Amino acid sequence: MNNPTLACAEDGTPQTFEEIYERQFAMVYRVCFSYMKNTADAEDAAADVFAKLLKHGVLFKSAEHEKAWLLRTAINQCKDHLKRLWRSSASIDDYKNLESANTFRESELLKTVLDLPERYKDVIYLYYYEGYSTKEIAQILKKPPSTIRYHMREARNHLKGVLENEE
Amino acid sequence: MRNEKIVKAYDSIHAGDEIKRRVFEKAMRKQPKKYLSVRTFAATAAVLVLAVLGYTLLTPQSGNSFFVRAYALIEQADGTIGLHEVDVIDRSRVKEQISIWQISEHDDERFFISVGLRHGGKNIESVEFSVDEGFFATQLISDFNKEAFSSFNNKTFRVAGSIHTGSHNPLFCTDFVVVGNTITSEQLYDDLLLFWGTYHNGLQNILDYIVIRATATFYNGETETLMVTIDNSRLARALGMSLDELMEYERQRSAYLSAYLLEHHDHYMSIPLEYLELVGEGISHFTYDPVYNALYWPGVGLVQKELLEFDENGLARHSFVYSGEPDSNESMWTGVIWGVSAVVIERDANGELTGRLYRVPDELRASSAP
Repeated sequence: MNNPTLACAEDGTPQTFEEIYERQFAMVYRVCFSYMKNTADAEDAAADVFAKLLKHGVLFKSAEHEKAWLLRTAINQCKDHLKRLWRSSASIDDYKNLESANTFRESELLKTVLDLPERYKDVIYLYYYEGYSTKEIAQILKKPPSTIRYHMREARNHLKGVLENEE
Repeated sequence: MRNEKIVKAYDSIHAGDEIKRRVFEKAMRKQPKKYLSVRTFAATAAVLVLAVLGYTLLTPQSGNSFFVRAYALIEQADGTIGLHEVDVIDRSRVKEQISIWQISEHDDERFFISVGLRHGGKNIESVEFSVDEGFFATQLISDFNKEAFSSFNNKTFRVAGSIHTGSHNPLFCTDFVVVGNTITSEQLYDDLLLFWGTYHNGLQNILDYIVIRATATFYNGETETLMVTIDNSRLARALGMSLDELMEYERQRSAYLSAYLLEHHDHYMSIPLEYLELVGEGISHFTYDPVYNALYWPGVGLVQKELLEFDENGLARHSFVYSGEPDSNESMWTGVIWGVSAVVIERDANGELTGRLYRVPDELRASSAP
């Protein structure tokens, strides 16, 4: 590809950063929020994802490639953020402020999903929300399909009761 | 396959225009100042991309760095065992510590040795580990295993060797997945244990040192390779045995202990509880539904739930025998038993299970002779 743009849609139309941002922001923010569980950190993580896109000037082969790259980068970015939060010595008051910044009410199901271990949360989101197959999830997360199927099984067990009760 | 309930739940996470604008501005602010000035000058983001891409491809990046470290369980000043990073490039330190805490596992065809590596640095796009001899394999660590690790105290470091058991015991880890002679950073993630493996044939010729080539590719296309040598020589030599001898020794020990318990089962089950010593310190009780209850001290004792037979008081009892590595260079199992413990599982009215661990006093121990 000679056109030095960030991405190229399936029909060959060059895509700018702003177009990608417009198209993928909601997804990236959703993933970031599911990890960070508060608005302020989700904003920071999402900003880092797009900053990375700008910095490295990734050339996407297709719309699917673009989406998969952003999903994987968002997940990895959030894990890095969480590690930094864990290591930092912020006061409890900082976290109180972040908590109060949440503006929506979580359903029991969402709360359960967000509290899942990361590996289960990833597969639940990608399978049940984004509609990817386990094979596709394996490609996105760069893990063996057998591992994804194992995580799916475990994640379903975690959600069993809540999914049945949810209105 | 989409699930409407989960879709609805996730759809409740949404950011308004204000957040969307803030994130965009933050992303822009996170660019180095050089890029910001380009953006200010440029009318569209596409120009910005051209500038960034051009910079990345054409300008030599400074500040690339790459390191490889290994995790090691090391006894700390207070006697507890902690997980520490050690620099594998510092050979003398590796020889002293990694080889001591390395974990090995074998089946009938293969032998695996843990090589827990962590890499890091700056501007790294990907990292590839490769070996000329043997192969890489991975195991997924189980929730139970993590719980056990987090509960380790100074008595239980010995358990570390046995807790990474293989595919025959799903309680701890999933099956070994043989990856091949290369593995990339994208294939490694949290909760995955990395092993180096080999088939038994000719193992003794290559066991002492595992040489791993770690190559980092940076965003600017440059690469850096580190040769990581992991010293295994003490793994088997600490016992004064060759690997084959060690494996034979383990087989004999396992068979001996099973035979011993079978032989003396009735004796240990009939000792009244008041004659046993309740072990107050170091008791841990795990529940891992639906299969096992487990307690450990000083070794892991597992009780399969389906096999528990509760009496009218809601008590079920099992016995365990534990033993350690030989003190000498004996390559044959000599029947050294450190002790016998009894596990009592109590079931309350709600069906909740609680475990207690007792030690059988030496004077009540049956003879070690099989």
